[in-house]
Amino acid sequence: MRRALALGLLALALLALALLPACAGADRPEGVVERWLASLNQGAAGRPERAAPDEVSEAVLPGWRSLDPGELDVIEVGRGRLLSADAAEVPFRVAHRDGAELVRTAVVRRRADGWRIERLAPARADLRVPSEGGPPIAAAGVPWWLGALAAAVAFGVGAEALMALVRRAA
Amino acid sequence: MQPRAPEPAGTGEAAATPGARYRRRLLFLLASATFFEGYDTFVLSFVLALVLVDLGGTEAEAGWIRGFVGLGAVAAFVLSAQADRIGRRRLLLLTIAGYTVSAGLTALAPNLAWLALAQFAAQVFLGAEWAVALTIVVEDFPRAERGRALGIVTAMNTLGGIAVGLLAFLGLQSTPLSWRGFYVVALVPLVLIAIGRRTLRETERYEAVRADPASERLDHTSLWEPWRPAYRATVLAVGLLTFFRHAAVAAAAFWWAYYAQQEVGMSVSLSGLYLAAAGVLGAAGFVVAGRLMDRIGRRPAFVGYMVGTLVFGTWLFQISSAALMLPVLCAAIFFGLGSVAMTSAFSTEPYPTYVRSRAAAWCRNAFEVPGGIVGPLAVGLLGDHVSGPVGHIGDAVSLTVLALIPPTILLCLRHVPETAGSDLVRLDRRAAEEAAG
Repeated sequence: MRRALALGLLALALLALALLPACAGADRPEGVVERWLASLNQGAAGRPERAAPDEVSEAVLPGWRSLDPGELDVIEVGRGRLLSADAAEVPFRVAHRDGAELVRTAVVRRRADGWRIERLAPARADLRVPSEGGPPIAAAGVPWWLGALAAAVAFGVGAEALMALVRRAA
Repeated sequence: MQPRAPEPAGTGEAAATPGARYRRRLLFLLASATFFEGYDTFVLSFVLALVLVDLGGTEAEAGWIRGFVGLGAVAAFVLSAQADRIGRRRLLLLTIAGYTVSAGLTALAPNLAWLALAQFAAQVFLGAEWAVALTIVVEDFPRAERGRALGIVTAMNTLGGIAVGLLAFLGLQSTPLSWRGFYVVALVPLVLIAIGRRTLRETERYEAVRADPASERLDHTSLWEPWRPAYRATVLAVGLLTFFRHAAVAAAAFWWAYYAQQEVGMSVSLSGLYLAAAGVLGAAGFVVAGRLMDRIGRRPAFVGYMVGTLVFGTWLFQISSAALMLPVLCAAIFFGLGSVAMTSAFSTEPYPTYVRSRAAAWCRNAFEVPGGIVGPLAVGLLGDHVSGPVGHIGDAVSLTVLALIPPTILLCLRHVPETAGSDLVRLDRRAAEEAAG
């Protein structure tokens, strides 16, 4: 019984260790650009004005207020670049249902309530979306993959300990 | 430690299963019922944007509705456990009728609160319908055909989901009924009630147990009966196994479209086409699983499917080529979703008839359903593009599959009994003898 308890505690400790990095938060401007485009694609119900001025939304999807949801068939955002602590450039690509494409760079600025799209700039060769060979918004590093393996071991050991406890009690 | 098979094969059960003609009709009825379980699960997410525009609502309210509706599947536990008390036939007809009424009320929804309540009720009835349908398959089909029947009934669940995409492709949402049309289609099960009332019989195992004076000493009502020492270890092992498996599979199923569209750059239409094609091909996974279960046993078949899930589930979310995506998606669906045929057997076959439905309810509603909530939620938190510590949904799904599938294999190998040859008549006899002391 004591061995099973010790195994269970060890499993929990391993799991907590694996999940520690999950406590660290992030604040990526790329995600804000992506949410703005997704909300724009919902039409008026999406309320894209929360993330960008109307003229910027109009430049991507003219007449968006009166359009049905789903006018954009592709929404893709790539990894951006911080210009300063409060400003960034983010590449994105949208494709309409009729096949027309728009590739631009969103210039975003941090305000008291979070990132906000300020204006659009032409696409830049050094900022590309993933389908054009650019990097994704973010990616899991080696510690995350090792953490997943550790979590698998922890879940296995924890389940074994639980089963041992139940079998003994029965 | 090698798990003990609950009961050696015997001859008692062979004579106690109904005829082939009745079993075919029964299979049609049960498969139709599980078809609409899959249908309804997909409909809400598919029409949510249209619902928000029509009834007025924000994304945040939509999130709350999804959460509330999902709780219905957990609440289904109480209803599905009643099959041991009121009988399989009566509960199946009750759940089909309840679901149809709930779908009708959803189609009539004047506001979001009404819609949420109607869909919550629909999930309660669907959750119970699923559990009782599997129980009926296990009790009314002979050992040699049980796996195949489970494969067919569970496959219909996926085909129900594909039907939603097909109806959308045909433009149901563009008719004057808009999103409400999808719920009008869900009234079709009313026909099943008409058929079922005439042809569906109570399972012979259930009737035999209820008629046996020895079974009077057995507890047919307590929700805690499956946690008696005799069944506890199996319920826990199967419960944990279904929790881990479903958390990983549900996360992958829920996030694939998002990954393909937002992180790979595929169009909505192409990803929809891929999903429909892979769903149809992947549905073969259920049927193959059913046949494998009958041929090589439940446990080897499940371990093979889980290895396939681990490989293709992890790989799928690391692919950035649209061309490679389709075959790997087919394989991931084949193994990942197809494995539910085995977990359906694990959660019903090891138990005697008087407690089978309650044991299945515990595995399904107390473990599998929460797994289906926790898995997608964990991926969303880890992979959120603004605040997630990983910041990449594809990586977050791969990490989840990598962390959850190996413990599933371990649990199966060490703690889940092989039930391919189990004789339900002998199981029932032994339970009655033990109760008699």
